[in-house]
Amino acid sequence: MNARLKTLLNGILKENPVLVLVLGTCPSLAISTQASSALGMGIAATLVLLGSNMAISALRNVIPDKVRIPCYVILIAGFVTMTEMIVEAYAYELYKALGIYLPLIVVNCIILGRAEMYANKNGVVDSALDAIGMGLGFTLTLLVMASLREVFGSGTWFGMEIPVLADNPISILTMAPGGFFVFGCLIALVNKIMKGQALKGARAGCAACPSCSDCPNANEAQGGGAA
Amino acid sequence: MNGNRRDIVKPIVVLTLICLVVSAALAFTNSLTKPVIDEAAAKRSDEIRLAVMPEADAFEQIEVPGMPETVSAAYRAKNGAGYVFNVVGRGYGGDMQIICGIGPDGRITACMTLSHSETEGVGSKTAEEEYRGQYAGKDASLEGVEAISRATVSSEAYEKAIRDVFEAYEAAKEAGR
Repeated sequence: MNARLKTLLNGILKENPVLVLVLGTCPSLAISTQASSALGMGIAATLVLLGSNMAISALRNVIPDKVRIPCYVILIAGFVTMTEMIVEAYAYELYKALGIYLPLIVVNCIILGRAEMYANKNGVVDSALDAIGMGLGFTLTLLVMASLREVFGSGTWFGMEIPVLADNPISILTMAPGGFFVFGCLIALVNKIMKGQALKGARAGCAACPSCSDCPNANEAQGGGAA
Repeated sequence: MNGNRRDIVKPIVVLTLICLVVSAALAFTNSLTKPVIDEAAAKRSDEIRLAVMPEADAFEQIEVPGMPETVSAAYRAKNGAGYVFNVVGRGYGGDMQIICGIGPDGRITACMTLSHSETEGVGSKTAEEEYRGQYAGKDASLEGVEAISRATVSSEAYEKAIRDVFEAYEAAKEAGR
């Protein structure tokens, strides 16, 4: 039970996909200007991650190595398209807010990365837990970034106005440079909290790279998902 | 030989099967969500039409022969409150989607810009109430409508689009729709 709990909590801080593994930075920077969109994006990505991790894990002994990337991409794209249809039908405002970033979840590195590094080597339940943990980490990170950028950049939070801040917004925070400022500061903060352990233990390079079988450092990287 | 063949056949079979299953799942989800999406989109369009013609109750789309080609759609209010037309204006930065309502007296009820790519702060002012509000109550002569200074192209495009709407209105009356 402890091991399972560890898998789940892994993605929240120790191997936070955005701040430690530095995956999925594109949607993180783009959709973190408003807390409500960030929450929606996080939930959508988590659902896709859950579906794809479980499907890929269930099929891990069936999919031949030669075609694993095309198969993964088809499965992930299938889940994303289904999510897109559901969001357009039942949450139109969110659909408009996410815009192009909803279909772009297909190429979100977190999803393909976890498929390669975890789901194709572990059972369905463990993969599901990993997906939930990573998804939670992604969502929480996005929420924190978006809250900071929305509160100080526009003076609102989830659309509600905040008295003093609404009159003195620091607009640059809602634009691209501000996104990078907040992102960098959060990464520094997490490194400080983890006392540098995060950097050493995460093997950020391997988590994002699908070439394990051809890699000279393969033995060293076997730790993969849980350092 | 057998091993080699299996190496080629298995990936093809697995990939094909996965494609088929995913396609089926997508088709199924689409069949469930498409009606919801279409209905919501129709409702949103109706709300926009009601915004330019508040006196109307519901609209039905009508076919009008002889409308200028910039007028993309024509709707008639079921309670006779007038017609609403969707028209495309060729603006400075691209197409401007405009919707305009004409009442039974032949005067404009209101017009709105649905989307445009005009220059922010210059041509984009045509979408604002200050400019487009001028059109309300005007008849086909559009007397007294003033262009926005330094946004001549956008203003003229908007005016032309509204004139096209009046042309369509005449066509609709003639065709007895």
